[in-house]
Amino acid sequence: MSDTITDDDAALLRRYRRGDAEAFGVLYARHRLGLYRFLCGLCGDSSLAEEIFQETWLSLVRSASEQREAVAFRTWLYQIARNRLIDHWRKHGRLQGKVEAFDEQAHADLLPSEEADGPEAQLSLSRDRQRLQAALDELPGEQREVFLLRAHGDLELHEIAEMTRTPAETVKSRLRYALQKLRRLLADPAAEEISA
Amino acid sequence: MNQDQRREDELERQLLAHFRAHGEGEPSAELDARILAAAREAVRPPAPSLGQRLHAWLFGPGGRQRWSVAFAGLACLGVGVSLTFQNLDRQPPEYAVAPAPAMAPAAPAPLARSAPDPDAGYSAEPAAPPMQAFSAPAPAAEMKKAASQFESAPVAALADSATADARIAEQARLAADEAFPPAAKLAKPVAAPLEPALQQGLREVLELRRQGQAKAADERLEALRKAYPRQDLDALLKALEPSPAP
Repeated sequence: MSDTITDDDAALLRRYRRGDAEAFGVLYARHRLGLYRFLCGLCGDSSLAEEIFQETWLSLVRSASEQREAVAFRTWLYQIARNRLIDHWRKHGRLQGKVEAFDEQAHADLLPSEEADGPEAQLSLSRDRQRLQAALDELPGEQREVFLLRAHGDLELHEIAEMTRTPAETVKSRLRYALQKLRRLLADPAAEEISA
Repeated sequence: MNQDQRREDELERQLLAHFRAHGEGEPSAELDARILAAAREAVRPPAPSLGQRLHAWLFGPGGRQRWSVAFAGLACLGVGVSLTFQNLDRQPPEYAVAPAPAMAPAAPAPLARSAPDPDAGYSAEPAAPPMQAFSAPAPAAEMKKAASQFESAPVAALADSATADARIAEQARLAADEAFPPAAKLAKPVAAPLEPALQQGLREVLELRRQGQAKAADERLEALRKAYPRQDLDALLKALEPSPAP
């Protein structure tokens, strides 16, 4: 059992393909929360997130192919989920109108300077979950996606760039802008008053 | 520059950790159960083949007792097969006896084997001697008698058909004799396979005709027709009539 827990994802998937259902349970327990929250944050609809979540895992279950060695299981899993969600949006339309064009440079100019915010202000973020979701909803789609892949998928920037087929520099700037905007939106008013 | 980068990385780490810690939402227990059940179902091993099941049955727990059962089964099978082959060897002569006598009058081969002269076969034996022996009342118990009576019914039917075949063969022979009348054959009695009563009756008819008692002869012949409806009495009479002197 301890071997199962310490196995990496690829080894667990191989064991599952050979008939070890317990290995799948470990794999599922590892990634269920992150994948679900990634989907929830990306589409903003828990029922749709559940649907895509289930489709993703069942697709993995039914797929007889082994994971490619060059791609980490985590990247593979989130790629499947992302593709499924995009397919759903193509078929049924995207209900959430957060895909507006975004001038990242202009947006950066509007953000408060980082020097103005002290470390205390950065730590005093609101823990109100509704406020977290509202702040996420405020982000443009591309920035939200990059941030969620980084936050819940724990993917590196080059993995996100490969998955979204975007240049790595673009991914890096999207993440930076997303972080700046989220800090601004989630900054505690009391902290702002102190810093002011 | 490096300090700014470190500070930015630290801020990113804090924000990501904050979102991970206070993120909202979790898949329902039903959804978890559904997915895990589907995963278990997908890796369920296929039903073992017959060979695998036999192997597991023989070499699994309690295999010693099963081996003895398997050997006993094989032994029974071997005994059954050997008995079957032995009986198969015995059956042909037993079955060959029954139909042969019924067909004997129509088949010239057995007759030729029993006597070199073809006509001698007709006069040698009655139609179905083995059948008669088979259907004759045995001096044993009642059960044997009942059994023989039961068996005599199909034998009688066979005898009838044999008689019909004999009649056809006889008519053919008579036609051949008319075309090429051999004196020796015509002089011989041709009603050998006939029953003595019938033969006697036919002779009486001929005698009555010879004496000029045509009416009595016809009455006698009619009585014979009723008694032997299957016999072609005219042909038999013709065969019994003495051939005119050349």
